[in-house]
Amino acid sequence: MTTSLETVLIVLAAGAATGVIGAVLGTGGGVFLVPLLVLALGVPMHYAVATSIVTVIATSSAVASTNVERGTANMRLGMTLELGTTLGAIAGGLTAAWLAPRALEAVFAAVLLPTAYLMWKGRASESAIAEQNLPSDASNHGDGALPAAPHDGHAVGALGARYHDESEGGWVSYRVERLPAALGISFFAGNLSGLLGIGGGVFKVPALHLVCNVPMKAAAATSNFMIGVTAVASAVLYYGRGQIHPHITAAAVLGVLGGSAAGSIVNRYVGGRAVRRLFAALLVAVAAQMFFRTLRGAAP
Amino acid sequence: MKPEDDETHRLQRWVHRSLLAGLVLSGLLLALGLAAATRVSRPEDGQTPQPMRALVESAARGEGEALMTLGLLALMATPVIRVGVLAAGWSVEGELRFAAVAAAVLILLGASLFLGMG
Repeated sequence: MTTSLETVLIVLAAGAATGVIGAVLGTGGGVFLVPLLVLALGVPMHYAVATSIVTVIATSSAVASTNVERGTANMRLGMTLELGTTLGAIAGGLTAAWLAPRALEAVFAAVLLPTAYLMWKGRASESAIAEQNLPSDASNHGDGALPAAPHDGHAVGALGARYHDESEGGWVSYRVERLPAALGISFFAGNLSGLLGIGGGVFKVPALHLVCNVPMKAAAATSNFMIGVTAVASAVLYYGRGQIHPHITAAAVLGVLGGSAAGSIVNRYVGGRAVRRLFAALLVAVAAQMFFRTLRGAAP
Repeated sequence: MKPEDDETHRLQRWVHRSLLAGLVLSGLLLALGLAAATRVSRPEDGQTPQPMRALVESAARGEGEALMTLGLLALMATPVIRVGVLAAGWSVEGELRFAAVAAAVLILLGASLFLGMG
């Protein structure tokens, strides 16, 4: 595989575009980057998956560093669930080696459909659930200073946590429920991550929220916290097989990091249901295109 | 603020710093490598992983591909170091249950490394 300067610049731009889209839609961007690399740039499927999985490490590390400092990422819960995601990612990374590129494309296309559905539904379903949310110690101190955390250590249990929610103006406490189910879902999400190069947050966040009763903000931050370690578990396998192409991956990582930073600014001005649904429809079109390629046997 | 809150915040700061340091280091290596690789056009070595010593020597000579590969390895090491920081931090805090969980995750990552490179 050879790489020209033109290809590097195109991958850099593609990475930036997926970074912006990811930041605006609240996804890792892998579901857009892989099809872009495969369908538009002709990068072989396994190399595209490997590139995407490395960009997932970069975005996760960048976002997690902020979320951890703010205290929204639940490190104890995240680490516990990483047992499931890491095992799943290793299984996924090993399975990918046995799958032909066209089969991998078909699996990817199949996963795009529920992803598009969840993206289409978006926050409408989240807000409906948020109303039945957990006990909140919301109390606005009004002086701009962070109020002291309430000392109800026994109430949140070993895996629960509390964080200061600026939008609610107070502390939010929660207990974690149904841990075994969450571990099972984490294994599944890790498996998809290792197999397809996506973060899997689109499945993990609703699961943490709906199954474990973790508030949406903490669920998103904790999922992101876990994704980096999950991605490393399979990235090492792709690296060992020589499927991480330095030029393409470096360009994609730098593009995605720049795009994510820009996307967080763009996010203040765009977003909302129409944009989310537009990209959900785009994902369905991409899935159809990948299915079509699989049927024709045109995968590289 | 209770002592355990201080300890948690200290650990959060260390995790934040380790992730940030990994990102900055890998970002610099990737940018330098990409710039070097596009400035001097060389045939690509192929994708067989090279020994670390050869990589470092090539990177020291300013070879773009080696710099990029080191950057990618630094990026992959970043979350692993984060797990190590938490394992050590929880051990110091006496939270042995979570220290053991973090150690188990490290073992799984080691197994993955063995499967990938072994």
